[in-house]
This record gives sequence, structure tokens and C-alpha cells, in this order.
Amino acid sequence: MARLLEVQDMRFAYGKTEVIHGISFYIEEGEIVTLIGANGAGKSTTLNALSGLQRIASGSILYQGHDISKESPQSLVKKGIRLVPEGRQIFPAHTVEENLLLGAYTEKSKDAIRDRMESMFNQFPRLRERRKQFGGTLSGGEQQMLAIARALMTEPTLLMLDEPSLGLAPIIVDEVMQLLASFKGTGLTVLLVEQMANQALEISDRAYVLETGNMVMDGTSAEVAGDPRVIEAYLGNV
Amino acid sequence: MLQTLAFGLSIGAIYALMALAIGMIYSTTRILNFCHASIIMVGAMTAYWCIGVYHLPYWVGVLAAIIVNTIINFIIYYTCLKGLGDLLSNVNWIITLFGMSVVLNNVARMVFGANQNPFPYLFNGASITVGDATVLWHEIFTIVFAVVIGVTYQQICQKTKFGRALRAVSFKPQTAKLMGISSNLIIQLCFMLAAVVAAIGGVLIAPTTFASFSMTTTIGLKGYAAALIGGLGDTKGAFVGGFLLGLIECIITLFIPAGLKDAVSFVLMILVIIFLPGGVLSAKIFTHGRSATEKV
Amino acid sequence: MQKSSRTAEALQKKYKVGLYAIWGIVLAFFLTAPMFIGKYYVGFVTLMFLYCILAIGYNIASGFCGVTTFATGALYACGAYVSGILITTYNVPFLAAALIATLAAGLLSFVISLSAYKVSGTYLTLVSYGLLEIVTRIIVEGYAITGGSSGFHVAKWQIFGLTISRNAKYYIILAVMLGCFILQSNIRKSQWGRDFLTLKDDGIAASMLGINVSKTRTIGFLISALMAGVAGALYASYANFIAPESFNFNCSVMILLMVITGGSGTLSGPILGAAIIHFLPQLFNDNADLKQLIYGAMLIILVQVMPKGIIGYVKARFAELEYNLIGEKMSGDKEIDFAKYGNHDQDGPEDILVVEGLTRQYGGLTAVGDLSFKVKKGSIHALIGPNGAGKTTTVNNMTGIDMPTSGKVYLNGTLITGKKSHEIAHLGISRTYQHVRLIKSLSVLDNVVMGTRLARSYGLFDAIFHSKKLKKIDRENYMEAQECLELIGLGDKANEMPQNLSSGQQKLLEICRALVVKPKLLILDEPCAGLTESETEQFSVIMKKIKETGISILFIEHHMSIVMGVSDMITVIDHGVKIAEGVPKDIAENPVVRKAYLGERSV
Repeated sequence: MARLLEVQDMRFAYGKTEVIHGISFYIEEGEIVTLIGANGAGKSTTLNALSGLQRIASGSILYQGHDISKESPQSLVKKGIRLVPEGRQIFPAHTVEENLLLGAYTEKSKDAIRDRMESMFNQFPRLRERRKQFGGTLSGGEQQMLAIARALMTEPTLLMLDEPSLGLAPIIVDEVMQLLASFKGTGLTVLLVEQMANQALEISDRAYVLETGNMVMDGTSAEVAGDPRVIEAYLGNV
Repeated sequence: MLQTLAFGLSIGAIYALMALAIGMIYSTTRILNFCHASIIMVGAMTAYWCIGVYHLPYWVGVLAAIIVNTIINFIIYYTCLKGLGDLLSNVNWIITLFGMSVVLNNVARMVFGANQNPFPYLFNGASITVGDATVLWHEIFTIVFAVVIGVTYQQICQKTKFGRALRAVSFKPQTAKLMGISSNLIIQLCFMLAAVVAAIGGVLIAPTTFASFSMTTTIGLKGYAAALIGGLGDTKGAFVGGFLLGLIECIITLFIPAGLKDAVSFVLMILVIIFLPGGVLSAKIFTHGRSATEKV
Repeated sequence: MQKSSRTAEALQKKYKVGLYAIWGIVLAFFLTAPMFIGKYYVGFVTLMFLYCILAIGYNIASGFCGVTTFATGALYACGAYVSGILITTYNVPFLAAALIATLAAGLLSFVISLSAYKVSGTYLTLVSYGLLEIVTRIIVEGYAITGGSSGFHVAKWQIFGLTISRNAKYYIILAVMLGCFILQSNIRKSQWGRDFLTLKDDGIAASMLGINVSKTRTIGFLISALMAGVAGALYASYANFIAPESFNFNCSVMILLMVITGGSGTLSGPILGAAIIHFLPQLFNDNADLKQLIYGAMLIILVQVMPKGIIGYVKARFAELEYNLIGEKMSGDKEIDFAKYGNHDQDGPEDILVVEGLTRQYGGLTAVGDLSFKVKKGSIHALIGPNGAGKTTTVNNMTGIDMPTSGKVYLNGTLITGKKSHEIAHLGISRTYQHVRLIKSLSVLDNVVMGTRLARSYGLFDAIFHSKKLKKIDRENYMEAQECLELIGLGDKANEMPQNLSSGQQKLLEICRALVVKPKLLILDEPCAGLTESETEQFSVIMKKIKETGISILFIEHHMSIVMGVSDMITVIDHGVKIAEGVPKDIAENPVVRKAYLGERSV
């Protein structure tokens, strides 16, 4: 398989304080990869850098062989990289339908937008029921579904999710994870960032562990899940 | 009485247009454009030059005002705001914008001179007589046109792709960027719209204030007052605030010296800021759905 | 470290000589100037001194308290008109009139202070702008008393029947200006100055450090307004003629520009700025149009190119001058340990903290629902739960940063729900934050000193007159702060700025600041987030040492190994509701916790 994304020696600093100290990792096409780390480890910063929201200090981010580290979020969306941000960030005063339309903002063809909206509604029937409701009135689980559907509106190549389980009931988390697992084989590549990683590790192929800005471990999900250090620090097996 | 009412409403319509333009920029950037009054003046002076000095048709004057204002708003965006980075954490925009308003006022005085120039009313100053009241068609047009602009803007916000993007940027520029929206572009378009509204407002108010470099020094602050009284960034609020202020001023001049009416408006503004920081329509309407909790 | 600070000490001595020399020359020049600069320039420089007073006053409101205001002109006008009218129309002696005028300006500043209770930032700027317009309108419309727009002639300046000559005016105003400068300098170098900068940078951190934000800010505005009022009273008698144009918007903009040019928040910046801006129009023959144009352009350019002003720019080059070398002066062999932070007041109930039915709803959303738990005196109590479970909200509702919808919180038997943050801080809670809230304008050492103010502080008069009490308390506070820094391993960073520390060091610094408070209850919100492994280990040792001193700790943490390692008791919440409570062993085995918090392995 070809490498879809390759990050090499990426460093990131807020002002003078370096928070990511040269990390490298890669994602192959069609994989689900999990990035684990505690609060403050630099996971969200990594995703923000990959989606163009923040500029890295040095290193490179290769996407389909091209360096994208200086590109704007808009152009990355057009290239097929979508981020589902932490806390979902649904537009609360837009209706469900409008949220989806915003997701397809870069898509010019009205027919394509209509088709995709239809297919999203088929995949998430709850959203069809609530298409005229304001985003802010949805439950946490529905918002997470909407956030994912919104990102899928442009048929991305790489879908990145920042702590999709945040603040959701366990049963809903299961649903979200099953949904992500179902993307396997559709050609969609997924980068999943999680803090509490049991379920994430179950659906993913490989995993990386980030600790205070350093990549401290990587391997197949089973290897990472079985490592005693990971178990102690992140899985809470005490 | 009807005459006072019509005059109050027409002045109120001007305030509403100012508040609307201030709100357009506020909703996407969270800043108050402190040189808006100067921009209105520049628009009106440009129109005066075209109409009053070179005797060009009225519409040419308005068009020239719109173009000049748009250019100036872009200059403001690039010289006063772009360099400051995040405008929420760097509040130096207050200083740069006030600085720009001082610059604009003095450039205008040097270019256009210090004269108070009469500016023609629309419809050649024709009026309609109802009972013993004489109401200018210009005043009626001002009120109607302002409302039309407000309704149009509201519709644009609600119904179009640009409007959706605008509201998305207004919620959170970062999230809007993740949708592929260029927040910068949307913000600049808002500045452009605000410039157009300012040009129209300037042309409509000029017959009353006369066209001069200082024509907006008195009414300048009223735009902010109207915006704050109605609730910042709220289209309906801008009109409620504008008309309310216009009416109160006209009614109050029946009881106190005319010179103090401005003082009353500002007292009112301060009271609203203190007691109803979200405006008279109450903040709830537009904080609706926005996350109420600030993580510490 | 020893070597570098010895260099700092030597540098400091060298710089100080230079600084005194500059001040000496400048002062000597202005003291003798009236003898050789000619009539016109005596008047010119006198006016400059008045602007210096205004700029110093503005600096206190803006540079220290952080509010951009345009009220300067209004306060200046208030001083000038009240004094001028009292002297001329009512034959009040100058000193009495000036005093009343100054107080009147002070009274006017309450309009802004009152607004500051409700709103902040831009809104205050608008209020001040409105105030300026209102005062101008009243002056113009009240022509029967004020002379309206044609101006007002003020009687000759007399003190005790003696007519004041041009040179005497010069020296009187110079003396007042120097007085204002010393006042500003003394305030800045006292706890009050540090309080001002703290509330400017971070209102929430300020109130949790026991600062009554509204009161302190009101005092800052008041001092600022009194200076503007004095300047106004002096101006009226100096110029013998006052008119509204002298106090309009352009006047406020000019004062603002003076402070920006010299350096907002610095001590000598306002004076340097006033001198430059006052002299500048001389270069182009005082062309009024050009003058305003250049002022406006300077505002736009300066705040972007040189936001800290000339003095701020220069000061950055000579940072050692401001170093506090207390760490050097302390005897190195003195044994420092955690015991001294102990809170030996062991009266009161067995539980230091009791939370009863705490509920916080935002609109329809329940962030915390009917939460109850107790923290035993002297224990380490962990509050855990998934991200977004409501932990930080709970802590914010305990510390007065947020008000609970219902429920009660008792600290050592005292009901603290409904109390303000600064009151709760005084009752004995100190805390750290999930995202550090350090004061960017203050050095590392000064940040820690902010924590000591709860135990020992002094009044405004001690600050203004730099009293013995102040010197004693400040010395003790700095000693204690430095000790605590040494203890936590940041002793050599005392004179750094907090934003230059690593994120782990910033977390430790915040804990240090919370510890010197000697709290009854220490609340730590995710202390280990962003810490390296070795820092985390260091931290767990520190935590146990703090416990030994008798301070109770409530902490929120995700790092499981540390939670299980140090806690005496753990409360688990999810979706704002308590789902389990117990000793670490029980929690680890509790299936409900495993399911909700750790995520269940679905086979």
C-alpha cells in the first residue's frame, strides 16, 4: 500500500515554547490509525497542523507525495483532508441541513451536493428527521454524527477525528466507533485521536503514542494495546 | 407632530444604517469599527464633489461614493487590522481604528476644505402635506430605503451560501476554515458591504447635516449608540436601536435645548451599556445555542 | 546560576549609575531652563509638564489597569472648568478651588468605574467616549456659567494673595508633575502596582489571588482621574482662558498617543512621550491639519511596530536592571522545606470541604447535576471522569468563578456558595487552572509574590509613601516567594518572564503560586497535563510533601498512575453526575467506572 500521509520530524512551538519536539509518523491508504496521548501531549496541535489551521515550526508533512505544511485549510479541504474538530463544533444557530451545506462549501456542483446530502440522510436517518432543527438543539451523539456527516460531504480521502468520544455516553461511543470501523474497505483513510483508547484501538490497524510532544511508541493496535506502559498510563488497567 | 415623527424616523433610519454596518463588521470580527463615522463622511464628500461641484448625475455621485468607500475600507483592513493578528487578544485595534478616523477626518479637511456645503435633497426637496405637517419625500424615501436594505441583508444572511458562510465565521472562524471557507474573504466582503451601506447613509444624511469634513462628528457616536441599544451584530436590533434613538431625540428636543439632545443620547447609551449590555432586545436572542460555558 | 546573577548584579550597578546620570542631567536642565530658554519656551515647557501629568494619569488607567479610555479630555475639562469658575465667579481661593476641582474629576471617574462593574474592554472605551461628548455638550450649552463655545476667562493666578509669575507657574507645575511621577512610580513598585497589572492581564486569576477586581480598578481610575483633575485646575489658572476646544476628542487622542509613544505601562514612558509629541508640531510650524494627521498616522503605525513604546523597547535591552536579586541576598545554607506552608489551623469540622447537591445548568444543558461529596481534612482527594464530564465546571462553581444553579458548598464549615472569588480566596482556597493563568506582565518571582499578598498586604497610603511597613512586608513576601521557587526547583528562573518557561515549568510555577498562599484547601486542575514523565514523578513527590504539611488537596487528573498512586479518596463523575466514590483500589475494580470512564472492551 502507498503512504497517503507522511510526517517527518515535525516541530511545533507556541511563541518560544516548543510543544512538539520533532515527531514522525505515516498513514497508509485505507488504514485506520489511532494517535493516543494524555491531555497536553500535543494531539490536537498535531491535527491542527495537519489540517492547516496552525503552522509548524519545522519538518515536513507529505500528503500524496507533496509537502502540504504551508497550505491553507481551504486548499487542504479541496485536496480531501477533513478534520472533525474536538468538541464537534456544530454550528449551533444553523439548521442540520445548513450544517451539511456548509460541509460541502467547496463543492460547486449543486447536483453533487444534493446526492451526497441524500446519501448522508440515508446513512444517518436521525439527521433526516431533524434536518430543519438547529444544530445546537441536537443531543451530543447526534451532533457527533452530524459533525462526521458534515466532513463526509466532500467525499474526503483522509478523515481526521479529534476525540470523537468526548463527553458521549459509552453506548454512543460504541456507535461512533462502529461507524468508523464501517469505513474500512471504502477507500477512506482515518486518523483517530483519542485519550482513552480502548475502543479506538479495537477498530484501528495501527497506533502511535504521543507523550508531551514526543512519539514514544508505535506498532499495530494489538501490540500497543498489550504494552504494559500503555495499559498503566492510558488504559487505566490498575 | 407628524413632521417631528417623520424627521425622527428618518434620522433614526440613518442611525440604523450606521448600526447595521457596524454590526456587519462586528459579527465576523468582534471589533467595533471606530472609523465608521469618518467613512460615512468620506462617502458623502465624494458624492458632494460629483454632484455639487462637477454637476454629475445623482447616481454617479452615489456610485463614486460606494467605490471610494470600498477602497478605503480595504485600506483600513490592511493597515489597521491585518497586522495585529488575533483581534480578540490584541485589542490595539481600538487605537489603530481611532487613529485612522483622525487621519481620514484631517485628510478630508485638507482635500475638501472646511466649508459647510449644502447637499441636494432627493426629489428636489419635494414634500407632501398631511394636515398641517409637511413631510419631505426625501425623509420618507430614507426610511423606506433603510428598511429595504435591512431586510435584504437579513435575507442574504439567512438564504444564501454567502450568508451561511458569514454566520459560520461569526460563530467561530476556526471551524469555518475547516469547512473550506476562507474566513478572510468573508470578513473582507463584510467590510465591503459595510462600505456600501456607509456610502448610502452618507448621501442620505448629507442634506440634513450639510456636507463637510465634520458632518459626522456629532452623529458619529450615535451609530454605536444605536448598535449597542439594539444589540451588537443583530440586524433587527440595529433598526430597533436606530429608530428608538431617532424618535427619542426628536421628542426630547421639545423639552430641552437642542444642543443637549446629543448628551441625552449618550447618557442613554451609557445606561444601556451598564444595565443591558446585550441591548434592549436582550442578549439571549443571539447567544442562543452558543456555548455558554467558558472553560477556565 | 551564581555566576550569571553576579553579572546581573554588576550590570545592574553599572546601569543604575547611567540611569541616575541621565535623570540628573534632565532634571538639572529643566530646573535651570527658565533662566535661558526665553519667554515663549517657558510657556511651552510648562504646557508640556501639564501634558506629562495627564499622560501619567492616563498611563495608570490604561497601562496599569488596561482600559483604553477617551475620558481624559472630560476629566481634564472637569478640573479646569470647576476650578476656573470657582475662582472667577465665586472668588474661591486657588488652593480650595483646585482641591474641589480635583475631587470633582475623581467623582466623574465613577461613571467609568461603575460601568466597569458590568462590562469591559471596548464597551468601556465607548462609555468613556460618550462621557467626553456629554461633558463637551454640557460646557457648550451651559454658556451662562461656562461661557459656552466662546470660552471662559479665568482670574489671575494668586496663592495667598500673591500673584504667580510666569516662572513661578513653571516651577509649581514642574513640582506637581514630579509629585505625580513619584506617586506613579511608588504605586507601580508596590503590591498595588502588581495588583493592577494582574487584573489587567487576567481578571479570573486576579480574583482567585484575593484581589477585589472592581474595587482595585475603581481606585486605579480614581488616581488617574485625580491627576487629570489637578492638571485641569492648573491649566485654567496657568492659561487664564479655557475653551471647549482644549478638551475635545483630539486632546484625548494626543494624550493616548503620548503614552503609546513613550511606552504604555512603563514609568518614564508617559513623560518621554509627552515631550516628543508636544515638541513634534514645532517641526512643521504647528500646522493644525498636518499635526492631527501625523498624530493619527503615528497611532496606527506605533501600536503595530512598537507596541511597547520607546521606553518598553529600550527596557527590553536592559532587562537586568529590573532583576530582583533577592535570591542572591538570601543565605544559601538555610534549610527550606514544605513544612512552613502548613496550615496549622486544625479547628472546625472533620471535612475541609463539603459539597451538597451542586447543580449547574446552562440553558437546558446540565453540566453538573446534584453532585455531593466531602473532602477530609489533610487528605488528597481526586476528582476524575472522562473529558467533558463536568470536573472543571464543578471546581469553577466552588471557587466563585461560576455561580451554581443550586446546591451548597462549605469550606471548613463556612458556606461559600454565593461568595465572590476573592472572598473565597481569603477563606483559604487557592487553585491552579487547566490552562495556566500566569501573569504575563510580571516576572516569575512577581507571579509567586502575588500569592503571598493574601497573607500579608498593606494599604494604598503605604504604597504611595513607600512606608516602612511596605518595605518590611515586601521583603518578607519576596523572601518567601524566592524560597518557594527554590523548593519547587525554579529558583534560577526568578527573573524570567513566565511565557519563556516550558509548559511543565509553567504548571509548577502556578502550583508554587497557589502554595505560598498557605491555603486550607489546594485545588489543582489537571496539574500533570503537559508534564514530561520525570516532571510527573517530581510532581507526585511534591504532592505527598504538601499533604504532609496538613494542606488538603482536591485535584482533577487524567494521568491514572498518579491518581491511583497519591489519592486517599477518589470521586468519579460522568455527565455531571457522581457515578462512584471510594479508595483507589475500589475504584479500580468498580465495573461501572471501568465502563463509563475507561471504555469497555467489547470482545
